Amino acid sequence: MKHLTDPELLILLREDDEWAFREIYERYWKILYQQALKKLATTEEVRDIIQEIFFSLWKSRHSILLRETLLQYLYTSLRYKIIDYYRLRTVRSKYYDSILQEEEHLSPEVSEELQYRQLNTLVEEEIRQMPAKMKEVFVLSRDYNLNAVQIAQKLSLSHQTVRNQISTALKRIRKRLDRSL
Amino acid sequence: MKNEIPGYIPEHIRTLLIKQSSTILSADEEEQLYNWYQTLDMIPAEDLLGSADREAEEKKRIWLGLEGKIQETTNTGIYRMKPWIWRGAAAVLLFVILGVGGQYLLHSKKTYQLEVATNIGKVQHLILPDGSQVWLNANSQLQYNNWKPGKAREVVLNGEAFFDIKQQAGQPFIIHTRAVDINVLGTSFNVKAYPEDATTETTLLTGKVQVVMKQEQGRKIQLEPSQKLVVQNNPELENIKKSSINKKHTTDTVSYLIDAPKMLTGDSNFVEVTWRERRLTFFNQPFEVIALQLQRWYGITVIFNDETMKNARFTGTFRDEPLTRVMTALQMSAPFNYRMSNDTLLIDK
Repeated sequence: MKHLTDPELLILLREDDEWAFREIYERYWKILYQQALKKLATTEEVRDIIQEIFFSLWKSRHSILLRETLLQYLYTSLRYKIIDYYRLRTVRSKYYDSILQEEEHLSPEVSEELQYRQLNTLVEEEIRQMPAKMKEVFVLSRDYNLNAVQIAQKLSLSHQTVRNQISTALKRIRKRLDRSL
Repeated sequence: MKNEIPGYIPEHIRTLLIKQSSTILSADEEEQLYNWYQTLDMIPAEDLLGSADREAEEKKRIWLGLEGKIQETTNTGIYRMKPWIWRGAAAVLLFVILGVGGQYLLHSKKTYQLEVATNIGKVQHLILPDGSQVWLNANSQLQYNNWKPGKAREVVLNGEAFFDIKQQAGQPFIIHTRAVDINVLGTSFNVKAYPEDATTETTLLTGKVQVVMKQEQGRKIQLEPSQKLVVQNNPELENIKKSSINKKHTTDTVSYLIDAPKMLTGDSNFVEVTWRERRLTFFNQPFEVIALQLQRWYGITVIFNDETMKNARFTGTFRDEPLTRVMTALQMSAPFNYRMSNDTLLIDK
């Protein structure tokens, strides 16, 4: 495998050859890791992102069409993943800010970063326990910044149902935060 | 620019990120995001790649997580290990028979009681009365008898088969095809003798075989392991262009030649026998020749609307892939279009 070129590895990858996949990982994980390390604050995030990049490569192995080198492709994939990571973070933290506006629980010395992390963990945990429909509605509202009308269209629900679901979801989250902060 | 506040995102970028969630950004906005990404240059929280040990550990850690993720999503076994069947194929003892010239005339008069035939796209494994094993490739027929002890074992092959022949003293094994007869005792080899192909190919893996070329006045060629004999099926019509069997830059024509079996880089098996692993493999072959393989593999008819594509060469291997995927892969290395109409594949420019 070591002497194969990238295009040859991709041919093998297309037929589900996991040794070829492993070789691609061996070749590029480090350079991507080092790049990601500059772009993200913690090594946990770096690990997750590297995993995701190779996971998407594996998932798209049958349809992959390269217009550039494999490394360029992986770099682009890294950029999309990292920007998406920041997008999710930003949208979520904005959302939590709005949840917490009327609450006065947070002590001012807690840094923004720590605040975000704690909130994120708690909220994700609460979301996991929501009924499926409620979860779907809430995630669309929070991560995609969609309003009730847009969600209602997307999921073929009435506006009122969507509003009720979001409101109940928020109540659950607030309760959860009340208990733990 | 070192951005030392972890996770700090400038306000205008925040606005763009939030906007991106629900609408498509303009090219200008995309560029702003791109530029911001390029400037991200944090001081790493920890240097986990500081030593070789830590690096190896980090590499392994991420890989294990990745493997787990893949296995989770593919419980249907798409992510399977594939030991190559032929890795380290054991050598078989050989006994060479000499002086069987003339036997190639026999089969024309003979009748055979048994016949095994395969359909398009199918491969069949069978065990002959003497214990020898045969893998019959798609669209092929093998005729044979219930051999009596002490008599020559003879079969007639029309199509392609891989033979693993049991050695039996005093009982030569003879394979009759249209262009050649092959004399063996104990050995494993592949014979490709489709009437629609331009050539008949005998590829020897282990042991020794003797090939009798019928159109060459019964001329005999003895093959060594890892040799391939290519014989022209219709020498009176056209001789083999050497260029069509991977000998570029020559216009010489011959009616037969000894070539080497081909192997893809990183593969452990000769291209000539990958069909036994249900793999469709091309090694720098012209599209015209590949088309014949596709016809047998997928049960289609290939028509070239664009003559120049007949000579486009391709290399690659496919396992259990639908035709569309094979075509997509071929399109990646040479630009052409194709259409499927019923069972006909039309190749356009």
